[in-house]
Amino acid sequence: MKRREIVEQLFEVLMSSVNSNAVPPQLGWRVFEKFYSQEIYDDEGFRLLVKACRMCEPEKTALALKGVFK
Amino acid sequence: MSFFSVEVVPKDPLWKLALAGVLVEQNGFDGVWVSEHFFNRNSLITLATIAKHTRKILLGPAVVNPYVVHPVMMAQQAATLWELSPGRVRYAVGAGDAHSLQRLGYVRTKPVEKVVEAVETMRSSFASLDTYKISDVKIFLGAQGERMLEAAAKIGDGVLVNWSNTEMLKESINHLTNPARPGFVKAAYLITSIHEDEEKALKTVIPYAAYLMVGASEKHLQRADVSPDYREKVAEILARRNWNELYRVARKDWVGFFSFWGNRRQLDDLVTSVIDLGYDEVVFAGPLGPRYVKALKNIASICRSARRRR
Repeated sequence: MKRREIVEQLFEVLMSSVNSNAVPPQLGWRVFEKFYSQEIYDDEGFRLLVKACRMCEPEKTALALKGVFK
Repeated sequence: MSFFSVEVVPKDPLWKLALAGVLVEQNGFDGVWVSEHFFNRNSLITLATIAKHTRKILLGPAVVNPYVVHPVMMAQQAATLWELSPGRVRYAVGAGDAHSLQRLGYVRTKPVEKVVEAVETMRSSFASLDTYKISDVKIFLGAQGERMLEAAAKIGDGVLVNWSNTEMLKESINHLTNPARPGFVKAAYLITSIHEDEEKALKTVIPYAAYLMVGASEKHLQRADVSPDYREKVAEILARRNWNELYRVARKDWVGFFSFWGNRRQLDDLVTSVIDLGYDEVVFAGPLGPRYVKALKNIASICRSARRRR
């Protein structure tokens, strides 16, 4: 599974979550900046995205990291 | 030419609403409406944030309530947002629902007159504000009832018709004949949830339909076959935010009256019907679906197909 596909699954986890209030705004804005500057697929963008996803949807994040989040 | 917009509901943190706004523009939509609820994030601050990170899409709050916000402040908000995103501002005014207003201590008396007065005051205030002199802010009215629809045709630059079923949208458009202002926009505001699994789409839309149902007029409740006692029961469940209980008591008949849920093909059919009825704009409102990004991409694809067919 390529990182790009995993990032897209993680991004869906984040955007579909109803628990986003669990993500501190500072982290949320760093994820936003990485997405906006098209750096979300880079190492740092990926790390921040995983961190934010784990805070709001730990189980779905694990699925996305395996590439099996539907 | 049809126009397609997406509602962003400010129930999420601001950084996520900004992401949603950017995604809406990237997927080729024409506009964003940010819904306004006193218990969520502020719609104008959300719009300002989206404005800073987008270039083309039109931006507007939907709808701001004149019982809560003075119309001079509405004009000030629109003019300030215009300075941030020149030529991209629309602004929807609406009387909201009695239930929500009651929670704030307001009584919803003479809603049509209140909204008409607000629109007129807004327009006259644009000239007196000490800001750049704006002239192209389109003022929409949010409407469900007959009198509000007729008022929209008389004084509005557009109307957001808050129904998601073709029967009510068809009845509504009959009250929008011969609008007074040139370029009047008839927008269907569809509470939408799509997914290949229709039951998942239904579950996602239930809270949104419930808020609309609880705020509906007695006349519309009767149309939806909802008793006052049942409405109160749902209102009480919503106040406790007990979603599992809400899923248990929700009935498909009224959820379908106040919202759309289904698969991509069914939404495609609805969009075609709405455009055929004579609506100029389709606003995809509410959750969009249990998978937000996938739903947004599917809806964008439906809109591209609809544009090609025209």
